[in-house]
Amino acid sequence: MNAHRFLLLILVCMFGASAFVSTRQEGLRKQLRVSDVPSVMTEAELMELEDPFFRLVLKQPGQMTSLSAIEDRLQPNRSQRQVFVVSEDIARSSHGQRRMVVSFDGTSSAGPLDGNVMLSVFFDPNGPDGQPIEAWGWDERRGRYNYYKLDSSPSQQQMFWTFRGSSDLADHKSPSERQGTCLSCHINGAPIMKELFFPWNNWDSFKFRAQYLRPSGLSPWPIARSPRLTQLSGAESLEGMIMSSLDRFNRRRVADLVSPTDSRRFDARLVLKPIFATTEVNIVSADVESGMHPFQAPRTGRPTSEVVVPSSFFLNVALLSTLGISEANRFNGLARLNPEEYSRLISETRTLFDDEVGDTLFAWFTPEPSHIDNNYVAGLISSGLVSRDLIAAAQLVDLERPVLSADRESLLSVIPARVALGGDGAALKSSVLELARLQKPDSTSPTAFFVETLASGQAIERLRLRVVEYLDRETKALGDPATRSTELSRLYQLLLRRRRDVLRHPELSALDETGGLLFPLPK
Amino acid sequence: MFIYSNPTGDPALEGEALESYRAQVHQQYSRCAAHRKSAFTHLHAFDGVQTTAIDHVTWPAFPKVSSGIDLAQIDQQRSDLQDEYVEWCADRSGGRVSRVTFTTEFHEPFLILARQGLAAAVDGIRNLYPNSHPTGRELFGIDDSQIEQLSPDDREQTFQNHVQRNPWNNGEFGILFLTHRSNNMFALFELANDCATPNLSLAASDVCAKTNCAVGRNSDPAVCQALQLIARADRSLALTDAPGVTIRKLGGVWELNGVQIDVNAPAANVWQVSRNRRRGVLEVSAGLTLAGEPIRSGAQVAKALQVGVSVLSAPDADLPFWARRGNESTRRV
Repeated sequence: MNAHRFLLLILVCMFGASAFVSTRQEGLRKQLRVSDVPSVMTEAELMELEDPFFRLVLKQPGQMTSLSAIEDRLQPNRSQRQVFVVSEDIARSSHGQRRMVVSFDGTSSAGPLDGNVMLSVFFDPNGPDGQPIEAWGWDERRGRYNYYKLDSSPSQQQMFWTFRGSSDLADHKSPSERQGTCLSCHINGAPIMKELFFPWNNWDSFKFRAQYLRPSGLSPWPIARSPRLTQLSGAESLEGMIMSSLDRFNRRRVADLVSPTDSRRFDARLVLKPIFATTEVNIVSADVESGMHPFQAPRTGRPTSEVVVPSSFFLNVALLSTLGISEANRFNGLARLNPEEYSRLISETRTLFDDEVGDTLFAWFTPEPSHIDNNYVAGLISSGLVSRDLIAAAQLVDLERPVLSADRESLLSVIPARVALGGDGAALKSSVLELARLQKPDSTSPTAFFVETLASGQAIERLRLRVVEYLDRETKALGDPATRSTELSRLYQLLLRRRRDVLRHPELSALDETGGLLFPLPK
Repeated sequence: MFIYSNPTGDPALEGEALESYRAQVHQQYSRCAAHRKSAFTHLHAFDGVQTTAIDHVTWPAFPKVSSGIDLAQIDQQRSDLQDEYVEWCADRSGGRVSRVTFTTEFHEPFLILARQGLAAAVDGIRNLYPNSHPTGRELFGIDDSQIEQLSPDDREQTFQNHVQRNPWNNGEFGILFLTHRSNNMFALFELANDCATPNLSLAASDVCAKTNCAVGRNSDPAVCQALQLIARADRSLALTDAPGVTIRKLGGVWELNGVQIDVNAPAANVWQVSRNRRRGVLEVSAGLTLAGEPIRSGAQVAKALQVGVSVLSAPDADLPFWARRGNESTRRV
């Protein structure tokens, strides 16, 4: 090669390299924490991103900041997109902001889209234009979610995309490490849908239609006539997609424990934490409208039919069913309040919603054990990593507090950091008993109770008996006219306490994005 | 009279049979349109109206009434438990589910074919199961020669009486149409009848409980609430042609041998929807999973399936005078 050609080659490489760098500088920066200054991602960092959102939208040259353009890039066929809407204001037809979640079906050049990429954006009556966009993509190869945001910085008016982190080791982060990151809400690193189950309070669904989002509504928002909302779908569709996504995420987490590729994952107190602690909550309600929601019209002042308290308010029905304790299902329909009883509880306690005595759209809105936690624990059992006995022994501690039990969480003190999982939990059991022997917990402590139950080998049967005793006691208290009113008041106070527990929790408090419209509480 | 479509595009439903079907459908529309103060009106009232909108009302196929019941039991007790205007049968081979077939078809077209005689009924079934040889005894419960001796009314009645034992419909050989007592055209129109009259003293979602609407289902409350909201917006409405429930979407994360697939892609050859979206067939090969779980029942798949109806509406004032609310007597066309 002669000198001229050699020089030309060098110039081309330099130009090409700088064009590559400038494209990347335009394309994507990293900003793991809101307070970080966005920094250009290195090529090595970019090579770590393989989810469909990155591959289809961010890897391409230039910035794509228009929601419509992004949607078209992900899935040009509009009929293969679904739009879901959620807001604590969902019942209020007057103007405000709502959150739109957009999902995609079908196949792209980056693979199947179902459950692999989603967008989230706030919108007002005229639409979402100019709003920040949040996105996540699932990296199948690495088994993790990547999070991105289109936003502007104080110093820059123009919007640009940033990589905001992944789900890698999310469950290992402390509350302070989460602050200002996506993991402050996505605690385990997976997508969240707080009101995951029927009747999906706060979501547009077949159970509650926000008619102002439809052209046939009485006073439809301008956006109701836009092509985007022709794909408006109910939360009942999103539930299945989110559950599939969470289940897949958990299968990978559990698989990593069976065949660990990363030694950092092997702090047993962290990987077994969902057995003992509430890492996330879902929020569920009765399936009847309260009639006392300030944003609903007309307001009847009470429900039109009885309020059936969700069974998960009483105990962790889903997890107990996994353990084969079908008696837990008998809590279904156990507590049924007539409309008078329910409205009296609200008024006597002066429970406030938006500063007036009232309630959420659907009655008895209560934190419950999360699907992601229960499904993960079920995976630990089915993979033989832990025994049913250990789970049952843990559930026996504070059975009647299915979420945010400090007593149950304290059991982590006898879980060693390093222990072999598997063998149906035999080694774990031995290690727990050994650690307890060394620690000598107080005989009246929850830990001592847990250890004794575990050692007995009869945890499942004891739990079954305990569930039956609990059921009988509640049935009697609610069935006896002399005690019913007191018991209902007690249960309602428990409900209020659980709401407060969530709002005061160092991590879960981030779920309240509204500054007060998540949970009705007395002042 | 509006020219109602052949609901499934089945070529067996033609000529006199199609006209008979149209007459039955028209009767339903007329019944609802004549209901006092109802927003329900005739379909041809919307001809040329520029301000129409279509609302899609969808709900999960999994029956709410069957929550907590073993999924295999829901599969087996179709006529008792599958009550969301969609029913299914799960074929098994070698001890595992090999195919799940969903239908939202009403029985009327099949009864009309049965009225015409055995040959017409067989034609209808062969359009679903080519190369099949249904017999009179299988379809009617009596010998072929006896069928032709019956009057059309009696043929229809005999066919209907035999529905639960008809192997082409009861899951033994296949599934044809809806058989649950609440899954029929009359019930759907009755729901529309009840819920298209605005009741402003209640929240829209509470109207269902005050009518014949079945609050224990997913379908009825969803449809009722939607109709109420449309009616309250001073709009007139009608179920879109062809009236009935259609299959909307099979969701979830599907994998084949551990690799995610687009289950709705025709090329995947896994999920096929036909007959104007009134029939869906899932071919379950070994290695197919939904949310990581092998397919063990049709009910499991039903949890990921959405079905629905569509409602056409327009501002009442934009419709011809004869079709508007308050003119129910002139809606008798």
